[in-house]
Amino acid sequence: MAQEHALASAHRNKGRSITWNKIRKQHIMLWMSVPIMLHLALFQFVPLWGWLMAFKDYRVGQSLWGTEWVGFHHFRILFENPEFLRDLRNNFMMNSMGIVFGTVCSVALAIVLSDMKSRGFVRTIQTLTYLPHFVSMVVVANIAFTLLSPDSGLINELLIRLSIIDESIFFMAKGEWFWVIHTLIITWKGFGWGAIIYLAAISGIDPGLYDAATVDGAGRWKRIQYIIIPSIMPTIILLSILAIGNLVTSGFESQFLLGNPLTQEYSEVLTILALRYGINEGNFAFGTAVGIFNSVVSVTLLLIVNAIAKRYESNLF
Amino acid sequence: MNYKQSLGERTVDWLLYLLLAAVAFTTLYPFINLLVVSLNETTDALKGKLYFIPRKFTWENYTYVFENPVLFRATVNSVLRTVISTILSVFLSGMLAYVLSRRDFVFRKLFGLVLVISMYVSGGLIPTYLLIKNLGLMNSFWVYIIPGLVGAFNVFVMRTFFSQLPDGLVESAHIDGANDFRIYTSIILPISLPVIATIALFVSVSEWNAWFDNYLYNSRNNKLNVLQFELQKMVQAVTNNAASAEDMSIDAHRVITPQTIKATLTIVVTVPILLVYPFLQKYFVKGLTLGAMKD
Repeated sequence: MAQEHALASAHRNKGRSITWNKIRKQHIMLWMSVPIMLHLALFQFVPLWGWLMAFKDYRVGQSLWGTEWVGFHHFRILFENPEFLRDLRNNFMMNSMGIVFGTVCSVALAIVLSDMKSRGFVRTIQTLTYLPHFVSMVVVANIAFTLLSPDSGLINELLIRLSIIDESIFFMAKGEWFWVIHTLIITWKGFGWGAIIYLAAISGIDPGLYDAATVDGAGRWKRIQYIIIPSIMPTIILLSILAIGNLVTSGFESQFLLGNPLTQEYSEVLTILALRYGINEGNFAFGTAVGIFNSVVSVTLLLIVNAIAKRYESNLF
Repeated sequence: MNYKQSLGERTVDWLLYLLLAAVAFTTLYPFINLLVVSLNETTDALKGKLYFIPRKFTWENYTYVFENPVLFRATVNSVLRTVISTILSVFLSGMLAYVLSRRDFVFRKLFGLVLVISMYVSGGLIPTYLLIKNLGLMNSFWVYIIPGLVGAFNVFVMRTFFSQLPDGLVESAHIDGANDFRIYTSIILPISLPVIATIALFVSVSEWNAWFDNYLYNSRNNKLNVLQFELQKMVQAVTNNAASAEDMSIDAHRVITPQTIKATLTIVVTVPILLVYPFLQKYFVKGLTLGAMKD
């Protein structure tokens, strides 16, 4: 009995020593990865320590650990702040409008491109529609302000010439229009890039299917309806699911650059709220609480979506 | 595919060509318009109605931008941050990706998991701001380089590519006595040009386009400004001024930059991008679809 035990423990030790040996043998790989992993941990995980601020009575210059706990006090203040609810609404509306309209435009572009016979033409269109994706949001904002300007902006001139309007509209000052204008601008920036993945999905369709459909007398529209759209549906669903994690709280750059004090009611989103209170006014606890809310909501959504996707895996993928 | 087309189908074909041409026009034209404005004389440009050719042609705006010491300094900063970040980031992300692509690596699963978590969990704006402050990175050039050194997404795209290389490559190099660092630098990197080019493009574009870290961490020291931040200040000064014309409560002390200078600076920051991405198209399309399909 004892002998057996000793044997088992020797065996276990041997197992462990193999791992140590392995680690020693792989020390170069460790040196190659550990510093980078530590860097990542420093900038991604150490800030999590700062989450304590949202539960404490923290003032600049104090030690975070030493200050008094205040529980969910800062969150109560946050949830009672009307600006929070307003920004949450703006955030959700702009993200969902962007995802829906962007996906529709990308899919439409991919379908039309896949139907074109001239390779060179397709390449040219693709290259041109990628351009707005690669330029900065600052550049896009400048383009938007220039084109939509009330004094001699091109859009206003065009609308006046077509007698649709009588005098210039200051588009970027119209709060109620901000969601729509923002969606159009974001889609303009991203739809060409978004089409890449759908084009790849379409080019993966078995050409035999088209031939069979043609023999059966299916025209262009029938091919799109019965072959292309069903074939890329899993990709559309998968990408939409992945986007849901970002649906409620993500984004701020486009709203920060395109918004202004006149449109604030409709253009401000949660991260801008955190920036305004947290950094401009030095209310770190409030800003951190907003950040925690954002993280918790997106991780929860991601987990829910993941669970649903797993359950329907056989149907979806 | 070879099937006879009816007249109707051919008409639809032509309509689709026209539609696509119109779509391409709407993406390209705003840039053409800014180019035209940038090549026009400043006071004349105020009259508007510039569409396809400058009314009073001049290089004046470009000379102004290139001779302005503030903008020159910003250009140097932008170029430096882009070049340094791209080289370091591609090399280091690739190194991690190589190690994670090795099936026998002991911590492969653990490190992979940490990487995935880092994609979704972060401290948020304020705690990160305080960390940067405590690390003494505020008001320094290094805040452009260090915090964003490794991107989890880029590591995954590269790992997918590396793990599809033949196993024998690494094994035979091991037998020849090469260590893993050497294998990475002298075998893996040189044969992985498509994915390296893709990631280098992604990193350099996002570095070149970045302005928010400048705004957040370095706005007290003008000498550290990058081009996009200079442009951002010009663009937003206009909207806030325009806004204050209707609403007097907003402070209007910012300087308004002429439209022609903004257009010129926009063209200046766009041209380098235009010179790079069209030539890497076949690489990044492949890299993107590969990365997306696998994860």
